[in-house]
Amino acid sequence: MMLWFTQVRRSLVLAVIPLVALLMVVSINSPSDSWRGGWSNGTGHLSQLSVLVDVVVALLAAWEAGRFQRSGISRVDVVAPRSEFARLLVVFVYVWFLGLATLFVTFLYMSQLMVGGGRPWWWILLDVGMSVGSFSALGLVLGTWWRSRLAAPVAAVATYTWVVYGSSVLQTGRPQSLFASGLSGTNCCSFAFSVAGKPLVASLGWSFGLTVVGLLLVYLRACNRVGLGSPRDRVLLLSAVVIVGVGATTGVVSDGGSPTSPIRATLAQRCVKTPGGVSVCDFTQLSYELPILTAGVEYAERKVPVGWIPHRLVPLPSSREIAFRMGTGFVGGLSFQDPWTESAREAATGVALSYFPLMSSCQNKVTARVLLTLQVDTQLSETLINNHVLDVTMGQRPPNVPFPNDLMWASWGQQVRFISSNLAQIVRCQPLYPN
Amino acid sequence: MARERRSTGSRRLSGNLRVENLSYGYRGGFRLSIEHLEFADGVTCLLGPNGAGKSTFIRLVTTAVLPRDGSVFVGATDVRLNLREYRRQLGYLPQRFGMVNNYRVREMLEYAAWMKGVAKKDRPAAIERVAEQCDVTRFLSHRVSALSGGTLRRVGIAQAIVNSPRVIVLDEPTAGLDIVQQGQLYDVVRGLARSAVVVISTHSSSDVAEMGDAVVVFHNGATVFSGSVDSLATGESTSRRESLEEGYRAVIGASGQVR
Repeated sequence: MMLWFTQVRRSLVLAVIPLVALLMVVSINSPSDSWRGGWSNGTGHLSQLSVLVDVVVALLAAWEAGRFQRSGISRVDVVAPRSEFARLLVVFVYVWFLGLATLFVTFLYMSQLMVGGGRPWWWILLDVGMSVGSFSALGLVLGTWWRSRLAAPVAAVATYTWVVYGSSVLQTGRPQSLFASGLSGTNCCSFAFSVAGKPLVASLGWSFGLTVVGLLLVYLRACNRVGLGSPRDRVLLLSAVVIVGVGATTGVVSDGGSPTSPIRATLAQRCVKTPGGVSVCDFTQLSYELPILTAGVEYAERKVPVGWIPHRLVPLPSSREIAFRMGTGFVGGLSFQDPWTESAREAATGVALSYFPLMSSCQNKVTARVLLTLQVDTQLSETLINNHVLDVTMGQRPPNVPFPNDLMWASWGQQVRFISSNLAQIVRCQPLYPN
Repeated sequence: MARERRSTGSRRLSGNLRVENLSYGYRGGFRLSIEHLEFADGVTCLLGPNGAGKSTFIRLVTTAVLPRDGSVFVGATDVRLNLREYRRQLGYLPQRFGMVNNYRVREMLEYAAWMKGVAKKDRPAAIERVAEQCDVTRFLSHRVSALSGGTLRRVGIAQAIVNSPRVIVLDEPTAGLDIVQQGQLYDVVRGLARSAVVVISTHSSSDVAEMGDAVVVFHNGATVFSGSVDSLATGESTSRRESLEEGYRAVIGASGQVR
């Protein structure tokens, strides 16, 4: 308790909490609605300013991590049984906790708007908590590696750049790194889209991935310093860091949909095999990061006894299975279209596109596992169909198709059933020119 | 229950500190090689010119780095195989030891106790004990930043022994201290040496004369002398300190590479 209190007592965050409280008072008494804004859609000064908490926790974590290094006590830490890793974990937890406490003040005031925005308070609280945790971890890693006093401001500037400019870049639809959706200001819509039917789980996955990466890096550094493990072990650990790191920090955006990344998709996914023998999985829709992940996992599989690597990390379907990517592009598109027509067409074209590389691979007698993704690119699909590259024939409309707006928030099982029912209606679907 | 088990579960290491066939090299070409060396209870001083290998030896003994070849033992316990256990019973004061300035001395010791795995219920008593041992009780509520150099060193030793270590390693503990402060520190170290293996790296013949029971002289990555202080003090001078210096010079000179 005393150790905890010591950490808290000298914390810079204690100065932030009154500032945030003051901000609340100002905003409550402000005649302008621009202060209040709408938390749910990221407008209003208050919502925008809340991103600064991310900046503060990143700064604080980097500073705290570096101060022990600079003080020289780290020489004792290195040979202590608890190790540097344990000490940094304490710093991480306390920075995370205080950042969350700071935001909690905001939540007290904004809770009405948040609930009014359609999301339960605990969800947003968790989401923001994870966001704060992620940036704490990032700051911690930077401060641990770079003991300079410059590490803290650099962490703050990097976080600010990430959060503010990341959101604008994401809206352009270009593949970009992810940022914490909960505090992203203008990234209003990420809440509104479903990733594998479990957005909260997906957010958890992303933040968890970032945190794991940070802690693994710290652990790796500790191992290097005391010479623990063979160089091969450390390379293996580093490859795991790369795998999780790439998964956690890369993401893609399509057509205004929410960003996703392998780690989010992977941790959130639950592959389900339908009675028809089709595996329906959530998966990232663009594959530029997949070769890295695949290479990393294959390397790890070669080096590690079978079973050590969780195969769910990168679920490569066999050539007899089709991996579908649920999520934003598909479901998001439905929300603005006629439910049956659009969904069926997308499902059909998606299947056709997925078959294309599959059939091509089979014809070439490729026995390796084939990685398929369902490209939900409407424009491309239409082009292909219109030019008779694909021949898709639909059957009867399936019964009990959920309304899209509900589907967006539907459970994973409901989404799977929806997909399955659509697939069952595809009578014929083949590429006319497979090669 | 689990916490209770943790606090009582560690067994006390016993026996001498021993290194066997120890070898560690750097890319620059320097290599420390020690065939056999043993440290009994009491104070053993490490002497040697700069670059002789004392610091490397200390890094190995404190497990800041692990040896590529050879092993460190406490009694029959191989340190490498019982790293955590050994570290629980290791006290270390590095040469350049800094503290977090915002901490008070009590908080600093609390932190050290936590780092060394001292059970929570035992920490207050441990802090009081080491504060008294190192004569820093009246400074417990002082900020670290307000301490003098000598007091800071004593706090440094206090943090090193807060876990009641079996092996205590002090790297130039008297550097920068005045005569009075050195005397206080000698008293502290002599008290510790009654029930622990104390290894001190130093350049001061006074340290050896005042505290040492045994001496190991390093030169060019090897030990060129290992024995009691009296056996090194073979000079003709009537002063023990000067006699030690003569003996030291003779040992270094005999190795043929005086720098």
